[in-house]
Amino acid sequence: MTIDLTQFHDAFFDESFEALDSMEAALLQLDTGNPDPELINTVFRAAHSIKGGGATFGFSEIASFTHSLETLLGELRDRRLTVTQTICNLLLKSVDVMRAMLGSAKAKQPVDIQSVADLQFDIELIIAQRDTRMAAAPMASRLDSGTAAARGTIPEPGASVEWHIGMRPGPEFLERGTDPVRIFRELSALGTLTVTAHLDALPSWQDLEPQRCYLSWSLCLLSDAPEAAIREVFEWVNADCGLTLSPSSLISAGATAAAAPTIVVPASQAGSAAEAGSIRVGVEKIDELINFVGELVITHAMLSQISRSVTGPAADALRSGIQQLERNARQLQESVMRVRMLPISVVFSRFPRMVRDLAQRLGKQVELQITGENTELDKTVLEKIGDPLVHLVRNCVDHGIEKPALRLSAGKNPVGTVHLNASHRGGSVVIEVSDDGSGLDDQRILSRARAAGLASPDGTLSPEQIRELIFVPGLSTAEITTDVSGRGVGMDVVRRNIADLSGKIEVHSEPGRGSRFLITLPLTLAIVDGLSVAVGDQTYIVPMTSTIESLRLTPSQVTTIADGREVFAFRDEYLPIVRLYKTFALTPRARALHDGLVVVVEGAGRRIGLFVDDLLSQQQVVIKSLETNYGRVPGISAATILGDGSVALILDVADLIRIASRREAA
Amino acid sequence: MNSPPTDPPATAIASQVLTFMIGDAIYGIDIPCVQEIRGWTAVTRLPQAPADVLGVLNLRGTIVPIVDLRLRFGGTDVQYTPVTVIIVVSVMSSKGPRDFGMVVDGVSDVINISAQDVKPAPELGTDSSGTYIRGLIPVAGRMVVLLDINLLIGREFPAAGSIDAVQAA
Amino acid sequence: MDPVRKLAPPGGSTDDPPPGSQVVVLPVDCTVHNISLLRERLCGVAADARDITLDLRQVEQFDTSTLQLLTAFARDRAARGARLLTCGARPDWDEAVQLLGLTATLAGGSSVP
Repeated sequence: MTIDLTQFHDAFFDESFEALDSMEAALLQLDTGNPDPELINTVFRAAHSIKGGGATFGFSEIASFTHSLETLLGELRDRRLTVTQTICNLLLKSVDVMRAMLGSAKAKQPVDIQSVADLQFDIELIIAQRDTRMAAAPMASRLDSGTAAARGTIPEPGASVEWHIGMRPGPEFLERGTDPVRIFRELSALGTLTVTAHLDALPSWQDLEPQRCYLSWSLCLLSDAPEAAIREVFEWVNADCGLTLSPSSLISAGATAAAAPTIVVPASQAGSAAEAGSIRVGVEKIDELINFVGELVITHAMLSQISRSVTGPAADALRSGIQQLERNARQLQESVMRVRMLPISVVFSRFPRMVRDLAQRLGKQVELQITGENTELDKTVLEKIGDPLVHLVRNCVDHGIEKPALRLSAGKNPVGTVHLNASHRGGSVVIEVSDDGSGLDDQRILSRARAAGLASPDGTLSPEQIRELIFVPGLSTAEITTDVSGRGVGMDVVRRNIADLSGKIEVHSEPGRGSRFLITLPLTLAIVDGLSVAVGDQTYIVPMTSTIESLRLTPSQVTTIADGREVFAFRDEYLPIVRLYKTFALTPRARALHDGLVVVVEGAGRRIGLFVDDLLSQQQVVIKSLETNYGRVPGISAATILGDGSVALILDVADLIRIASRREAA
Repeated sequence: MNSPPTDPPATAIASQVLTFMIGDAIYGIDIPCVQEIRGWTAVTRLPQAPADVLGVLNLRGTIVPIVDLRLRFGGTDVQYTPVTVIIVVSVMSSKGPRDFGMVVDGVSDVINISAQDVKPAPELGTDSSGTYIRGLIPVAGRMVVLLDINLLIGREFPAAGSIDAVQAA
Repeated sequence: MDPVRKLAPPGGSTDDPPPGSQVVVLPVDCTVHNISLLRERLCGVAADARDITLDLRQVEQFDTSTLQLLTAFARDRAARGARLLTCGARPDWDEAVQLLGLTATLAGGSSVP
């Protein structure tokens, strides 16, 4: 009897992607100077499990590649090879390649064999070099009473060895006052030095930033000096300079790595993953559970309503039973909701790598701090918050953090800091993306906005109002459009994506000190805290996150301006009144403003007063999609089921404001 | 499904049709797409919906739009009484299966038909109704108009963006 | 880096810029701190189609950034069919050019007749 293995493929892919995530996290924490053996073990185990699964399920390319990778990791684990920046970069590249391979295999697409083969070749080259080194060692240390060389070749005293040195300084190398001339002069004192300069990275002289180092060198040193003496020459340059050093019997380990920016990730992240026992459950099963619990809550509300009209000897017992049911139902609801919650580290974990690559590409030094990564958030929210966060973090690194030279001249630490923080605040989750860079340039934002016709040319705006402008479509403040950010999507898209999650984003900035973006999100998309309001015979839910205040207006507070539009003074601004019965074409009970109530709501950075007949209650409601069976409805985000089993629509405040302003414009 | 002990005649591919009344006319739809038949209850109105989309109802936890088929077929004087009936059906739309309720004047019967019972509908000129009428079935001296529910509602179901257009029309 | 003491010019044959070429006098401080000034001076003559001679006699301090900039500039001159020459270079200048492996682009332009 044969077992159909395809049924296990999904689990294999899920587990492999997770293994890759933990592999990447461990690699990013790996300190090449002093590698933590436990981190190497983590990486090794991850590769090993992918290899095993790949072989079992017949993904031969994956199995073959991970085999090579595992061999290399074995060498590193057993300290037959030292962890260099080159190897570390190679391992990170392997994570990418394996992700792509698994992605292709999952989508049943052909694998990009060339990139896999290239990388596999590089890996095997390093392993092969280790073999040469091991073979060379006993010969070279013949006279050394038979002890094996710890690393590399120990030349016989007095014998000259040809050393190959690769040196690729980081961009700020020269500014820091390290002069390659001095280094090479010292080297030439140790023996015969031949220098080859690589000019291929040197731009035309007009485009060249003269402080920046574009040159790299290959050196060949024939010397009888011990390796330590040669290394000593480079003692002060290691941090900001890619460096390779090998005796000539070895093949050069390929391109040297560029200087890597430092990234600090709290150590708690790696250890916390997957320690507790867990089972894998399909999301749809959890959603089904959540739906049933939602039903239970509604049924309870129904029962409780009926029980109020019950009289007789059993009535009290019935009511206390229903109260008990309510407690149980709430607890069950909370527990089930918690099943859907995942720590935000799932999203944050991609940033160390991203910031590292980005900083490297932009020639900046950035330290990424992550805190509150164990804050839990609904899975759906998590899935959708990733892109806006990527955009914000990119912006911080690209536009916020200045180049090291500029930071130094401003008296700042040349290493910029980007801080990601998540925390619970009441019933919401607050995610904070901040940097200690240059802050928003209010003047430039304003002049851009005026140039684009988004702000009036002579009106004065408060700093807060100016910063609101960055969320307006069509305003990009990037001085130079880079391939990192400033193309196509802007902050307006970020705000819209966050609004789609019933969240909001605000920005704080201090010139020269940095900027801070605060995103407030609901814990879950399954439930919303709402204010129920009555209009005619209909009930609507206004999300609490959008409401500011409700008030009853007296006729004197209302001004009617051109074409019948009504406005009222609220705090220090005039807000338009939107009569919900008109928007929704209903017959209201209250037509005169003083007969009903105005709910001040806010969305997309604007406020309006919604005129309704009455406020009914404040309650938590279970969100039900209208799009499952119908479609999008203007001004409405979703529906819910009330205690009596009837349906109430949940208002989409931002959309209502949009509709209202479109009417004004018409 | 258990087969009866004796095979039905080879020529007949039997299927079941639910028939219902709208005014004096009898319509039929395939039984498999019918989810539930329920009495009329008040619906929650949907803003800016087409005139025949009355609103939405809670049907065992899902929000289901309710279409008055009588209005869809051009009726004007429609009553909502306790005997008014909602037939909940599942249709295949361009976006996958969707549930919706159709308001009709009353449900009449379930009939067994075979493929050759269905007569082609005569060409009705420019009337678009031809597209969702699958054929005519003579039953006891009367005509049952067999509807293709997927074409009737599934295809023209309002999707995102089309509502403004409806409103403007 | 170590400041380089100004030495008496050796021999004198390469001291004076050759006639008929555009001359740029390099400043005393040719290190990364002052590199922008050097670039400005080069900008002033970049469009000149003639050979350009760098007068190095005032240079007291220099580092790799200057040699890097001049390498790029020399490449540009070569592309225009003109030469970049030097005069008044002290031995440590020539040594640095050699140590950095830049002889092919820079020292080829020595104005020694």
